Amino acid sequence: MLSRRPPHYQAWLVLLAGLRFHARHPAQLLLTIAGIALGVAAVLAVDLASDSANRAFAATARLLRGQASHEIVRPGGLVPEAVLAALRREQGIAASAGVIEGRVRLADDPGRAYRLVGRDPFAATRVGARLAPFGDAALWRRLLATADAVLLPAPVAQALALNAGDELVLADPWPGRRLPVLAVIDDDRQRLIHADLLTARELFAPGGGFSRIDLRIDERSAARLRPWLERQGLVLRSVPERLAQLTGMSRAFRVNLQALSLLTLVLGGFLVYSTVAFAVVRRREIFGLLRGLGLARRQLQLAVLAETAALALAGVALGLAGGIVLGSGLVRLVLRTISDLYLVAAVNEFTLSVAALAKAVMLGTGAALAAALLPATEAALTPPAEAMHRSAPLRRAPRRYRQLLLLALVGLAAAAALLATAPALPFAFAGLFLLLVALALAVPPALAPMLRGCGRLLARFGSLTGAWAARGAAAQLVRTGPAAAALMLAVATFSGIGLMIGSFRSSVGIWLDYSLDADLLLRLPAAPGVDEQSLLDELRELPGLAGWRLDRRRPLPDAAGLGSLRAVRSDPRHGRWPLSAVPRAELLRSLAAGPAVIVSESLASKRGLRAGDRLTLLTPSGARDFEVLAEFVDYSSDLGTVAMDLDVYRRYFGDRALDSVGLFARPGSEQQLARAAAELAARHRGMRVISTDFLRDISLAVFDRTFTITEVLRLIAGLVAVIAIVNALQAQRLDSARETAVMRALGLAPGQLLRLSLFQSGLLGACSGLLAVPVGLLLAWLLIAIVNRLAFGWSMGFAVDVGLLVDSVLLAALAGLLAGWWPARQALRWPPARGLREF
Amino acid sequence: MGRWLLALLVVGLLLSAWWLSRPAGDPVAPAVDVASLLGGDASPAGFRRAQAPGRIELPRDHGPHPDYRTEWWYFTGHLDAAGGRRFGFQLTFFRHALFPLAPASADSRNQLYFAHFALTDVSRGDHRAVERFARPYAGIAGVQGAPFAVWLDDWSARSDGESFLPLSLQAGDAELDATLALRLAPGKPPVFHGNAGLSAKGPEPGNASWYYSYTRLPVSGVLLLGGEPLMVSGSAWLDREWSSSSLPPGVVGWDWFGLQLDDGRELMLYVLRDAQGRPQAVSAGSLVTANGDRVPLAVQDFQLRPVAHWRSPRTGIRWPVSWRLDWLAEPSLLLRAAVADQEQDLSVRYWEGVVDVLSVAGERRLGRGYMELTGYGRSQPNKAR
Repeated sequence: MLSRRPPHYQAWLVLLAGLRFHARHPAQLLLTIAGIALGVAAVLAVDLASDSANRAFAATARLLRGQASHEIVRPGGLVPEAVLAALRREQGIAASAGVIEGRVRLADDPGRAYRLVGRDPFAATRVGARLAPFGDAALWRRLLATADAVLLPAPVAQALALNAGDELVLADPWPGRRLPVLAVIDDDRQRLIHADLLTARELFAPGGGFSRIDLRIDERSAARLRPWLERQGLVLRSVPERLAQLTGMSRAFRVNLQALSLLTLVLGGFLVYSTVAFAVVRRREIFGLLRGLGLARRQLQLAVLAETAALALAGVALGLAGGIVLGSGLVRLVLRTISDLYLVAAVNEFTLSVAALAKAVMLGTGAALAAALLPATEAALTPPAEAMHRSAPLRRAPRRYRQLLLLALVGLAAAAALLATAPALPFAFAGLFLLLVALALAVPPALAPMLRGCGRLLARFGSLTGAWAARGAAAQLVRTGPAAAALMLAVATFSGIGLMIGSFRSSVGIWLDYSLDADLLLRLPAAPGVDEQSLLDELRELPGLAGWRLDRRRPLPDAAGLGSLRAVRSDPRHGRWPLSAVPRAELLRSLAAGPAVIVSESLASKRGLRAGDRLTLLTPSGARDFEVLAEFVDYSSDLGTVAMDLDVYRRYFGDRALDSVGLFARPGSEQQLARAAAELAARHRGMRVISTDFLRDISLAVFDRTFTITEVLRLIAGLVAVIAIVNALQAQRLDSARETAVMRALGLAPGQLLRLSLFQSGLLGACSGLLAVPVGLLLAWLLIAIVNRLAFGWSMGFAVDVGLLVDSVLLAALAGLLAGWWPARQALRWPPARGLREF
Repeated sequence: MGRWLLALLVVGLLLSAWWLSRPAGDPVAPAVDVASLLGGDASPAGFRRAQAPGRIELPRDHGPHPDYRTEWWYFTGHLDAAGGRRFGFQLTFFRHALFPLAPASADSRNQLYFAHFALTDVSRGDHRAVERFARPYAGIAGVQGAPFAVWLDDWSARSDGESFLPLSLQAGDAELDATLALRLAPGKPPVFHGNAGLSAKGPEPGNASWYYSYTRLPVSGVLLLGGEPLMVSGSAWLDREWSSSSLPPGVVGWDWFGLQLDDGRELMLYVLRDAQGRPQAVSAGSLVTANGDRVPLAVQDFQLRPVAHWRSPRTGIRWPVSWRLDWLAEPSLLLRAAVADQEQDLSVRYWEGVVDVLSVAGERRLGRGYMELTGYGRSQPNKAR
């Protein structure tokens, strides 16, 4: 008897049987491994991307901490150079460095502004700054000694197709001025140009002065300096405070990524589970046989788990490789988005984090073993005679459904409670996660009546085979349930995220329409300035002009300096403001009357501002309170925008500069105005005309890029859905091999059977897809109403894209069809006699 | 079996701890290699060379010479405080032109100033040094001829009135926890080394520097050390040198001595040496008599032999910190570092500090001085902090 043999001999037998099985079904083996690999890869990739985003933010934090503790700025202007000398020579503050930065536009890429930052390398070392990986000393010598020389970060050089030795040609300020590119440096920031301080001084501050002075001082020195600086109209602000605000802002982005990684974990887990469960289920009969031969239950269980572990290992190894490849792509996307949205330090290299690797490995092996445990236990517990039948034991299904439903209800209640009261983003995400899991649990119990209903419907219309197929599908849900749940979850994610992005995009589109309401934008050079009165005189001469709007934008002059300030004055003949919340003449009058502002809703939600509150801004004559009159919608930045009347701005800030003039054409004379404006711009150095259509396109392009990672994730979700359903339906097909054989023996033609099988799997897919519709809608609504509100402070309209919903149901049905086709063909290849003999 | 598993677990934990604790990329890494920035391409082409005809004219030449590549105002000195505490100080201002023929408008772009401030607390055996860099914009660094002033931040050397001397020195640093405010009074007249100030550094003409010294200037003032004000007095030495030359081929470094003997005489010696430590023919010196006359010393007039070394635990460099000096027909001298560790691990790594001038048996003190050793150990200069 086998049981008297040494135990390892018996275990060998099971493993050998497994080996034989896999050798006979290589496609099956590959699919199992691929399933595990894909799940692991997806989780790892998103984790790596999320990691690199975290590192980018952490590096910014470290950089800012190491760089400077405080900075000196002058509201509305440059810090006089003498301040630096006085700091160093009289105040004994050696750790101080002037920085000059400004915006430039390039002749080759006039649509975008670049930040040119000038630092003195020697002064910068005083405040511990790293001047990026700026290369060797010879390069530095040349940078210091070459007039107008610049260094370009690699992505900037790539985007402009420039190399060391080429020249940048400025469009604004100093149109036509050529800046030799000394080198392309290893810095992955976008729209940034490095230069020596003295070069930046010639460009932006020929009369002297710094944009700011960085300091590295302790709080005692800060307290000593503050009154001295305030007497000179200067503001000392602490970098950590600014940093705290910045990291607060960026937290939303990171939490978003974490949520994506969590979602991938769930999807990946489902995928691994259904893949492995299927691989084990398929061999129930062999296990029955082995049990019949006297193999102990425990030995069988252990052997199956060992085999699964081996498979999991192969899958995990492949998944790690795939995850690294996919992750490096995602990392680039994420970093690009981050540098588009926030100014952060460069994190150029893609590094593997042990935690992410460990998580992926644990997910792969853990889910695989958990997936194998259940069927293995089942196989072990099933009496050998029953196990040798291929058909599944379905008796326990109703009780299991009740348990699942109960669990789902509890989960839903908890999720609803969390979502309704969510005070912060992590709670909202936890609620969302719980909700999805609960809904996934409810899928098999929900599908069963759906499928049976289909069966009754089909029976009423006289399609007995159809009715039989539908009822069969309902009966098989014990096996196909997890796959259907995975499919539903994947499709709901696919459609929910798609709906959210679509809604967001349409809101942004609407916002762009009214914020870019002018026909043309006349961009004014920063230096040399333009005389406003003569410009207005020239504007009046333009043919076809209906009105104009003057616009000044600058960083928000408050203690943190994050966000922006916009001061606007409209032509009396064309009294519109470019901000949606301000259509009321009364509000415009209040804005023009006194120290009052309107704030973007993101700023309002971040700082808890409401109409009637006061906002303190730093003016050259000290801190001043401005009354908040209303909120307005603004997607231009989640850092927040404050808007005020231009005349009020000038009264308090004494800054007469202008950034742009919006031109409105009389209906029908747009072309004429465009030509005239171009001629006007040509007469002024550095002045340019931009069509607002062009700006609109650029804005939407940035928007789309921001959501690329989300799109990639949607794609992964789709892939997971397909593989999950393919695996699961194969299991179901094989389970029903006997039915197939019986039906063929009863005279059904192979073609008929194939159609039947396709119908069955397609129906399952479509039903899962239908279930995904409300879940997707719910997900989208929650993302819009709760998550984005908490993360960015943005409100947006909910736009339901019916086409997208239909697409997702079709995707699910298609996945079902695809999955049904191959196993059906397999089953048909067997002669009916063999199918019948199998029992 | 269980034990093996445990061992494996421990190893795994240790490995992951190691992995996790590996230092991440340092965001405040050295910004720029200052030493090689200064070195640049060694060719002096385009700069003015120190060669005849030409002569030093004072007070004009106290001021800057921007058409030469490098120059320095090199103050060293010995200070005595109450209770027998002894200090040595070094405050050096360097001016360095990165490129020749810079456009006139770009002067502040091309000129680089750096300064070294070091303090030796002889009584406590402590030596510390710091450096600063700045370019001459916004008034944070610069030099002017009349009235004389050179400054970098709040470190400065400045004539008190129209004449060069008396002169005030000012330097302080939080890292050193020391602030120095000294007044240098007129002492001995300037000494012009080499041929009326033209001091050869290599065999070919032009490979030379303009070099003069004030070898003994009475000094008094306040040293604020660790918050404690100490009244100090002593004598200082100023070396002024400017040139565009670089070290001749084969020369790896130099040893320089500025000795103030108790009998009222001073001795300046420099030895340019090759990799084997052999002195080059251009090595030379000056003996300044008590009444201020100069006796030139050629390479054959003196011999310097290291007699003791000290290995730096920081850099591993073996510095010759004691020397035997045989010169002319005078009694031999022992020049011994007052503190062995006066290594200056700055952008340019060198040893600069106080030496005691002793009789050769070491039993009698005959004077004190400053010693500068360069080009020892690894040939690469240190990176900037």
